Amino acid sequence: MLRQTANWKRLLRWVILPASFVFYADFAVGQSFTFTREVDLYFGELAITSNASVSSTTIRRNGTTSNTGTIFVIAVGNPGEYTISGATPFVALNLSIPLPVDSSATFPGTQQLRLSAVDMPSVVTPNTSGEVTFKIGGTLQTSGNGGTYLNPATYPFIIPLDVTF
Amino acid sequence: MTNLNKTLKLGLAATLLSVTTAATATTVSVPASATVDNAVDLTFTGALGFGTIRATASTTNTECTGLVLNADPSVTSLIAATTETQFAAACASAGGSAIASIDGAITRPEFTITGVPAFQQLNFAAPAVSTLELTGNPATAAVFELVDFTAFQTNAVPAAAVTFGATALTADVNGEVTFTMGAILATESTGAGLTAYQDATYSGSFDVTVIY
Repeated sequence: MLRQTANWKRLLRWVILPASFVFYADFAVGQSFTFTREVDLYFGELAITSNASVSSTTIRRNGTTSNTGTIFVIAVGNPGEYTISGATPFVALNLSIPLPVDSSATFPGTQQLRLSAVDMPSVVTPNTSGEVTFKIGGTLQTSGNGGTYLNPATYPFIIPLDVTF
Repeated sequence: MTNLNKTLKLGLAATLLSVTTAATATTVSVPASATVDNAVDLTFTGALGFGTIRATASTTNTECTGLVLNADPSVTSLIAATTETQFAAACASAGGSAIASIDGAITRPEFTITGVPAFQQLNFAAPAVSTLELTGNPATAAVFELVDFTAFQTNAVPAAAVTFGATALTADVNGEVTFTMGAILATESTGAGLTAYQDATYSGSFDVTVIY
């Protein structure tokens, strides 16, 4: 597990408090949270038998999978599971991921896989302890241009998750 | 002075707006991954064995005879080749050739495929015609020909003979395929000027390729 703390509390106060304390007091001045990766999103072990056209594999946040085209799942993966803690209780957090996100494999001559869609809640609300856990699934696409995917190889993604509140 | 105040207020408002935007959003990085593995793990045990035979090659082209080793493990003996495609094309008649099984000690290679998706269909083309030769065989010595390969998927439901082609094999729920192979052992079909077979072990190999 890796914890990332988005803590801009100090900066927030420094910039805005001289101007209008009351204006910001209503919504979470000093709002900060800890983001914990419980389980990383993994699309499983895939066989891509042809890249002549775009194929896709989907793993939903409930763990079910489906495929299109010439991509097949040898070993099923898992949706990602994440926890936000230390947030303000009952203040809804909006989640979004700017799509698409391409994999960042560095092997020479390979095509990249593309995260073309995600399956996740758009809004989550921390409980009374300021904590909420949610899952993220998604759809991977091949490039479909006839290029090569190397194997066996793991294609990593770094997905930016925007949290607004 | 009044204008200056207005400007100041506008500037302050703009500052508030931009701070609001920045203050209510943050981005965290979420790693994910997928593993690509297109390899088909194909292994085998055993060999294609016809046991001990008596054989005579004809010195006339297209005169040859053959023994069929059926890929189906339930078939326990060799039978004479008749009209199988490659055999019939090469062997118009028996002529001066002859072949017969003596001990019937046949063996079949058993192949196992793992690591493919459940229920995946696999392309399996018939192996190319091959020969069994004596090590150090002179060019004029007779060889045996392996033709009309067959395969039998033993973990199909029900187990069945394989029809070579794009959907020849179907993996089970565990992504596995097991199959056996057979072929026809024929005396040499291009027999002009051949020397007779030796009392020795004739050996060779054939390539099996399975792809998605």
